[in-house]
Amino acid sequence: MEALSAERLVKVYGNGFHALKGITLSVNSGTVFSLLGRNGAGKTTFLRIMTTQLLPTSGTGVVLGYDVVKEAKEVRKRVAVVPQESKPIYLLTVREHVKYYLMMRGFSMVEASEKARKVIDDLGLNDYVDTLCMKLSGGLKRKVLVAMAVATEADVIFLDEPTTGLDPIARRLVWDVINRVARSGKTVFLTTHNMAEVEAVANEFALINDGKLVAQGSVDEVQRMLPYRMRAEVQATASSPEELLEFGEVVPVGRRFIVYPRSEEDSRRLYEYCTARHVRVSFSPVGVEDVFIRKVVARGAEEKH
Amino acid sequence: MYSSGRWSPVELRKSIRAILALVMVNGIKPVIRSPLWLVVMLMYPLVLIFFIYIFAEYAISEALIGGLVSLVVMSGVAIQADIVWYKVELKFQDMAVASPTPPTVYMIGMAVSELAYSSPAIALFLALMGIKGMLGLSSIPMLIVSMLLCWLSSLSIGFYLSTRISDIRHIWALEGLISIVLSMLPPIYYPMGLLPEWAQILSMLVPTTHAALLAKEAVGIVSLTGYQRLTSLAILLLWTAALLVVAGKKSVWREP
Repeated sequence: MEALSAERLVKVYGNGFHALKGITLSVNSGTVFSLLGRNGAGKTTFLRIMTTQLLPTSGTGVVLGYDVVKEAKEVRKRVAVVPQESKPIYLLTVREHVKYYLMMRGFSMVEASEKARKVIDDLGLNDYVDTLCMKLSGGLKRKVLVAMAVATEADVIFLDEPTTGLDPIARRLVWDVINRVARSGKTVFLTTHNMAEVEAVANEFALINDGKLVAQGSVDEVQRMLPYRMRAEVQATASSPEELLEFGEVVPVGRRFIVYPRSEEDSRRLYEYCTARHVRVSFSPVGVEDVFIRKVVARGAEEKH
Repeated sequence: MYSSGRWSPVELRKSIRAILALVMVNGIKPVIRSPLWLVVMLMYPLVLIFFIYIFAEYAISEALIGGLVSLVVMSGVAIQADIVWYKVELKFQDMAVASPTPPTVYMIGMAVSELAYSSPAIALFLALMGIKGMLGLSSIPMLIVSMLLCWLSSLSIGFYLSTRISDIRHIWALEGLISIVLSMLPPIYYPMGLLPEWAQILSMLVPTTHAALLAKEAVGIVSLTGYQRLTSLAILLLWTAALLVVAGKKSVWREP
């Protein structure tokens, strides 16, 4: 069953900016789905439309069979969202956040207290239950916001860049929570520009760029779209892209080159070339980052030329 | 949640829970943990009354009404800062939009929560008025009506501004300015007769002038003719209704 779907979704803001240019995608129930893209790609706009916070210009969005424009009330009963850069209220404790948010959604005080206790326990927040949120670390603050959404027992939970600005340890805390929620059978829809996040938590993902969908599928499926199996990261300061072209496709990314060798033989030759010149090189299987690089970074560079 | 008919008992119960939750979130809990807010709320009218007591002790009854109106105005206008804070800084309002909480319930909850900050100061002012012998059974109904209308019109101004301004720094500046325009410049703390005629006419355009006039009449400081009383009440009602309609029309729950 589909948890949500979008059909030719378009959003043009008042200033004429085209944030979404006809996005069509679907998300199955019970999956962790990640919408991946650069800043300004249209991820948050898409999420805000699907959670009934923003009206689309055209196209349709459907959540659990309900149209996000015409049946917003029905959608709102079934979703919960953690907005991008949201923060907990400084003078409330962890328990109060969850409890009062549930009461705001219509739960009785008894139900809200019970559900708060359970979710705090499930998400490992017991040690902080009566701690004021202003005293929590960045990771724990995000965890509290996710706990608020999870406690609602909404069928679809939307997380907008839940780990942006967090250190690697805090990020893993949040990933752990997402994986726990996923195990409970809920659908989690998250936006991110972090490739590692997609690999760590998502069953499926879609890549969005400049308001358009570039790729969609499981991590394995999308990886298989690539013509290469291996990638090499070469220190950029010690080589030039022209020299590396003989080993495969070269994409400059910051202070390094990503080289996609065409064969094992090319990989071996590249390794020998780099070691002979004392150039740092590391090999790994292709991943989500490579899909991103080839579909977004390389295409952007081609368009510039 | 919020599944049955719009005005069903179930719906009503859920709305009350939501309002109660918002009162706890934005009112009672922050006040308990940061009681300095209560002092700040109280200081502004109290300082004015202190000076009036020193320089014109005979006008203290008038000043007490002025303090009460000031508190009610501040309690209403303060909502703009909280709404913008929850919407822009914390994104809490986004969580509310994408939930079964109806916008009217959210706004009522936010409005009532503001009373947590001002009600101790209002209680103190009422006690002082009681000590001065200004409160009688007959004065209470009109006092409640005038203060309620004053609160609603200030709230509407707060609501409206919160939809127009998204920078919290501008909101703070504006909040102070509006409080001065509504509760210091008009004849709230002092008799209207002290103003030159042109200023008296100008002050009649301000809703708080009428709220104060009605309150002062209720406690026996001034006497109004039936016509004057009706005019003041009508102007105050008109202001409140107009501001509520504008705030309701301009408020944005789901963004276009």
